[in-house]
Amino acid sequence: MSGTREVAVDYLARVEGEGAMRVKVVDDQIEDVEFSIFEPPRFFEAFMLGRPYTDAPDITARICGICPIAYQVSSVNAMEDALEFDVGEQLTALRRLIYCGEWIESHVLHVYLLHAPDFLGYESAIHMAADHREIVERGLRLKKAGNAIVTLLGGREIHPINLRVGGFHRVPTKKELDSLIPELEWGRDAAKETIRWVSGFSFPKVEEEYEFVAISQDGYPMNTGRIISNRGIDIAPAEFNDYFTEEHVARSNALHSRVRGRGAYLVGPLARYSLAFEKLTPAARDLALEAGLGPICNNPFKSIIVRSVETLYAIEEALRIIDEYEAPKQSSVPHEVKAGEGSGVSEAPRGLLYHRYRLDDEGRITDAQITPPTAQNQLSIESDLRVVLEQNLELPDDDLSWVLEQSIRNYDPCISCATHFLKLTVERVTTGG
Amino acid sequence: MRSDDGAGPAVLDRLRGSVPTDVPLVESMGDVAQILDAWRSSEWVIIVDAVMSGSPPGTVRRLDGRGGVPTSWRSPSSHLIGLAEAIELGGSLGSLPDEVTVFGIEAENVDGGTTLTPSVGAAVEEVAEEILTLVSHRDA
Repeated sequence: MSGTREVAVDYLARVEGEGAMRVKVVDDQIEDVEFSIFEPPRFFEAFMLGRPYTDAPDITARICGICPIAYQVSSVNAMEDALEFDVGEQLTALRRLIYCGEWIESHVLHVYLLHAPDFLGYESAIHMAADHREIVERGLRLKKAGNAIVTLLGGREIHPINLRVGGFHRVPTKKELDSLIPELEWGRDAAKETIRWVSGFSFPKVEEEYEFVAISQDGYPMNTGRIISNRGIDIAPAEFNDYFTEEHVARSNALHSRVRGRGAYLVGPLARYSLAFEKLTPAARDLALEAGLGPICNNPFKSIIVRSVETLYAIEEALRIIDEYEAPKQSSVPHEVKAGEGSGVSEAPRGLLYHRYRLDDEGRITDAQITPPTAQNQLSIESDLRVVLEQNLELPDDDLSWVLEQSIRNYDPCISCATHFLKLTVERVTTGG
Repeated sequence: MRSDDGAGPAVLDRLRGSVPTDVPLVESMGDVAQILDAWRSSEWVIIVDAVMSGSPPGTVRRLDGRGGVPTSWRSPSSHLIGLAEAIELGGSLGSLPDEVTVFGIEAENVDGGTTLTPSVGAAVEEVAEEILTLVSHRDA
């Protein structure tokens, strides 16, 4: 069949924030696939210039409403690298604990309210809730268990205020942390039910060849570490710009990331899972395999299973940290303020989040670079869209739009971190040839 | 940090100390679990949010939320679920209060900035006064 096909959708639903997607098909051949992001000027990087280093966690927390902890942890990691000191094991464990809370919140929101409706054929979570009320209530209660960790350690329910360069403003008592246990123990079982639930969905057969990029640390990648890939990268965060490059592309105001000399790469749950499967808890590994995953997952549609597995991991990890907790003698480590440059990484729910700062000798920020995970995934998303398009060209336009939208949702793009608006256009052209 | 996106919290700031102590003031980033939980045991909830519906900046509209919120009221807080969907989800789950009053304040700028634009600042004052009147009439 030759001809022009044009499909336009005004908005991409159920993605946090918005972006744009345009597909052009000429005589049944895909000519172009563009995933574009329209973004206002990078306000936050510019806003930080001239401000004291201590402001970075509080300012960057406002970049993303669903992953403020990720921004805070990457920023303090970078500042502590610049100031050349370490906060020690117990404060690092507390940072990992609050990070577990954020993973739970973010992954559960995505699985239950943003992604599952796709697989079950519902237009939205509201429609799904009418038929599956208990399941949605389970998701909301699970999310609340994650919220509780973030609120307790973060100091308040929105824009956590308790993290600082050097540690925390206040550390919890053992009793306060123990109060989280009952809901987390319920949540552990609910997370297992979540994995079993999503593993029963029907998944398109898509197998991509990704360069996976994630943190490497002693535990499952989350709060700090080196940067590795499945194609040989193994670097300190300070070397990030030597191996990864950000390019402005004419159609988008966000920056498209590439591995220097290679091309697209993927960060996020699939990357973490595939690079560090053996570092999951035994229960998480077992349920992943029971759900039909192998030690590597390169089907982006199955990201919903991987997020569910990571939710279980985060709950078990949170329980472990709480069990081993001994309140540190000081909530924050004293440090010298001096000029320097530092880099820091952590694994936001959506993937690797890189911060770099330069400080003058009074600790004021003279340069800032923030590379969010969704910007890093743009080229991989485009590549996936091309594959899905090739496999579904025969579909009517509305069905094709739906499948393509679902493909973008596989990535749970936090486009709020990188953009402000999404519009989908599929243009099909007939040449008559 | 996103200018008029702060209209809701600004109204809360105006109300603090002026409403009876048994009227809880809850600030939310749009976290659906938090919102639905906050409403669960309430008879009446008043919600204030910045909206972008194409009306002139500073326009204030008041609705009965139980009748539905216009989907054109896309919150510039693009994180998480929008207000319209949160209310509908609450309805689907049977956890909506008996009365839901929604104030939408039309935003002008949500791209970046630490202050409200003048028209939205004026709207914040208007909405705060109206809420105080509503609450005092309820108490009377």
